[in-house]
Amino acid sequence: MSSFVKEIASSTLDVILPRTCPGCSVKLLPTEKILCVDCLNDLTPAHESNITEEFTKHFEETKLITGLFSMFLFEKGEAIQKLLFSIKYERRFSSAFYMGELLGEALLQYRAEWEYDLILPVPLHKVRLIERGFNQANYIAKGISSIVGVKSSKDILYRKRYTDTQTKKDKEERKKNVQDAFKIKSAIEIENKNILLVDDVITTGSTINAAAGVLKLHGASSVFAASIALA
Amino acid sequence: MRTFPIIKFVILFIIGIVVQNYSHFSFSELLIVTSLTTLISFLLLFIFKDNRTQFFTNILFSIVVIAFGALLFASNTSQKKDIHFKTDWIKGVTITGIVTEIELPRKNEFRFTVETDSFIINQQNKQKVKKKFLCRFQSTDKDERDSIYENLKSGFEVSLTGNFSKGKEKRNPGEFDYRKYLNQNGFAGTFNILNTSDFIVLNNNYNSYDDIINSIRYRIYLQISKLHNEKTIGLLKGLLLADRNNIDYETKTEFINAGVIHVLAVSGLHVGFIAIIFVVMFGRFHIIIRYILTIIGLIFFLIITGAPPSVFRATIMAVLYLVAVITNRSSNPFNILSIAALVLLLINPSDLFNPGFQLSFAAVLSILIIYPLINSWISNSKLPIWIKGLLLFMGVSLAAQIGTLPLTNYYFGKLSLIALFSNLIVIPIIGLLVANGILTLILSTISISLASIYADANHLLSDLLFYFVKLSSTLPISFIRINDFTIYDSFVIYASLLLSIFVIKNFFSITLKVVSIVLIFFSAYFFIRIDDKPLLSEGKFTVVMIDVGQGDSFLIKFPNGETWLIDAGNATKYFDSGDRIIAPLLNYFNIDEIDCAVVTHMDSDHSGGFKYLFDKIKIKTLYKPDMDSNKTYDLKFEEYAKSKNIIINYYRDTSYSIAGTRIYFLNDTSDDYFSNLSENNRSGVIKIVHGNVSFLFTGDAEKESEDFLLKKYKDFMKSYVLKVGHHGSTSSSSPAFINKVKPEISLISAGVNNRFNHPSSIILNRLESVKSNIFRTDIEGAIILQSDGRSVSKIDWKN
Repeated sequence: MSSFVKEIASSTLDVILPRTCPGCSVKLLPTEKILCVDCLNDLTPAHESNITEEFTKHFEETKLITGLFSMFLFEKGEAIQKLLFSIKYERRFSSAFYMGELLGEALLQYRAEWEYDLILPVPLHKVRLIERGFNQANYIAKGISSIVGVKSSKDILYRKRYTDTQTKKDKEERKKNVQDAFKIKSAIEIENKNILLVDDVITTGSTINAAAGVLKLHGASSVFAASIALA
Repeated sequence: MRTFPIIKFVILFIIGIVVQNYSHFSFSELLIVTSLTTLISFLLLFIFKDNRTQFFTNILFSIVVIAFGALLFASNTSQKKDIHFKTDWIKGVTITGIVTEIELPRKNEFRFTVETDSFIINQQNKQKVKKKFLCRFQSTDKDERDSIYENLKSGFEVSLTGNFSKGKEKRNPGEFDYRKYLNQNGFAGTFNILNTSDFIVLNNNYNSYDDIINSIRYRIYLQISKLHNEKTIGLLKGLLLADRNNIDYETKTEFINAGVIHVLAVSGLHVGFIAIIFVVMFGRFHIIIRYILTIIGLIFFLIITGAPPSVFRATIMAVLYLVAVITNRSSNPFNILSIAALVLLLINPSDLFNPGFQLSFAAVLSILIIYPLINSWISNSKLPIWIKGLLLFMGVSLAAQIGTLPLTNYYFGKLSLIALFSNLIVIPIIGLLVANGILTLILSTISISLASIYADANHLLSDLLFYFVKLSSTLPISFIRINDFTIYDSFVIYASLLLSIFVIKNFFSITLKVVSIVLIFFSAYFFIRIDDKPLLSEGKFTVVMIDVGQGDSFLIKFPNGETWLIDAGNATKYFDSGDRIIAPLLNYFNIDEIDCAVVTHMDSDHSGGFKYLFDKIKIKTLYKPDMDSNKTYDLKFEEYAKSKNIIINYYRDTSYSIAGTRIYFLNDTSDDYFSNLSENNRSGVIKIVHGNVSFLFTGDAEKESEDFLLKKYKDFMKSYVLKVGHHGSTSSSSPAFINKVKPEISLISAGVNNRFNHPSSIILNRLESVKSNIFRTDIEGAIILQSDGRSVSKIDWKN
């Protein structure tokens, strides 16, 4: 009975507030979750070679993170950008959770060897959090957590300095922008822990490096990083 | 469109309402069309399951929706017919009925709606009348008013005795049509109750839901009143309860001139502010809980404001947006806007013709369409970031203004030029006032003394707001007046706007864009000019017989643009023609200077309105009868005129020319017989000759004066147009005089159903016997006559 009511309600809602694909604006079929089949197939997977390249470029030197994983390659004007934009600017936080679930499954499959006991989302500054209403990385972390069964927490790592958006900056600017941006609320919770740091997109690694640096400084034994997309 | 079926549905639905508004099909016709088309389209759908008939089913479905819109509108308007009483107002009526709505109290009265079942005139002649009346309780004793108000609940059955009125029609150009307004809101008229004893409650069953809302509103109102001064009460009552009746007419005019009147109508802006306040207030909660709490808060705000269209629209949109976010669905703004329109129109299809509805939707739609264009220009420019921010903020305002321009021109007759800048200051102040106002109210439940500190901030903000609005409305460039802007003109502007947006979006070359847009608006200008008919043409001689009720007032415009005003109607404690009729009319005609004012004689129904005009309008010279030093009124009148630097002339037998016309003052004060006549008889008699036609104004001159004029001026009295003496009373217009003047056109200025029974049927017959065309203000309202020197034509100003 209740499932019947639920079905009626959702099909009525489908007429007045249809679910649409952020990639191509077409109406989604009941079986499609976030993206339509076409857009989902259009996403370019990040191959191991891409990941290794990114790792050598941005993380090898700093030696702050142990491992890196990402599902897709970020492409301007393509479905992946539109998807991430819809999460941020249309506030589709459930999409973030769903993408987190996908990321969790991928981690189980491709990074089974990673051992971590805490998932931390890259935090937003309070002002930005109020403006956006939620932190997309937090929902991705929650999605991963629901699949891999490791606790995620949004309260341990926080941003103490308001930083400009990274979107239109080059690597040097980005690095400067996020230096000293992060702080730890309680060091006990990360001491000798292996941590998975989660963000939506990893571009120059400045944010991840800065956050990982703070975590390491306060006693974390190792830090892994995962994201939906690599830019 | 495929993804969002509601958008298509709403467009077709609106087409249905508009079609019905102009075609007036009967309810049964529409019912047949709707059910038949529905039936056929379903049959087609079931018989041919493939796509062969898709085109036809689509068309049929469209017809179904259009017919459905028309049907709903027809059923909604069929109940709202005018009441069939011969007279416009009746004294001493008793009505019984149910109280359905109660407004917040006003300064000197409170208003409520009664749906009647009976209507008794003078305790006899009981009629069954099922109508809605706007009732006004106007006892002068505030305590009496308050005690009745506090005990009145919606749902009560009452018996009321008072005066019925159909409401004042539009009787002069540029005037507000109160009767039409009442009818559009479903009222058959107003009903004024003056005494507590005339207010009897027959049955005190009440509607507890309405009662709760009313008492919450009333309590908030009391709380606001307790903490604030008069001006701030009016403002906060408007902002938080969507009731701007405590804001006076003059202030509203200032807001219109400054282009910020929209902030006084609770609108999407306020709902946006409220939503932000809630979202921030519940910021600690999980996003879903936060949004659900915000939805509840918004619905509460909707209910306590009484759900006017603009608040309803904005609330539906905000709620749908939040629901879309929570359920991870499309928050496409066009779709959400369409759903809001559909909900409002399903509840009340006539809302489509409500200015608030139109302005609200036009503003949002144009922000959605035009703002992205502005945004992309500004974002791609190389300006400093703070200038960009400022420009983006102005961009929203500009987009809304472009989209509402045709409507504001049509409804207000003004185009505010300063709006872009005034909004920049006014909108943030309003935001602060809404936030601080809510905070003050919440605090006042805890501590009045603490709340009064916050109330002081409200005073400061409202002083700042009023000061700024006044300042920007009085700048010489703040607004321009736009007369005779019609619905047709609005369509031309909207079509040009859409075309321009198409050009901007699809043409690549800048020169091509600019050239096309210039061409579009050039042709729009021509299309707009097609239906223009200036009421006061340049180069012609125009006489406007202003309808001032029982009294006289004539506005004259000479071919060179010089303006005269002969008499100015009556002024009583309750109604000043100068203030309420003549000044708005002059304003409408863009006249801010009168070259010559003529007081035919000192009776108050001719001279009363002048005092207000002396204050408000620059008058250069004044003609009047010799001063009667026995009369203090006359003394004061002259003193007042002198204090305004008006040059005073007395009637003498003189004449002079203005721009091809010749003006004759026919009062011969040197004559003993004439100068000993009564005051009425010494009325200024003025003849104006323009080419082959002539106009004769006689004020209240009676037989004695007419005899004198005939004897002295003989055939010169013959005139093409005669202002019939003394409102058509038998004391004037003697047979000899009428036979001599032999007017082709007779003008009579008299009040509707006046107590003197002016004009007399004897005089009307006398005028008809010389085949004169008679035009009366009591029948037609204002009359405009225009002369080109060869003939006189009557200008129809009503359409």
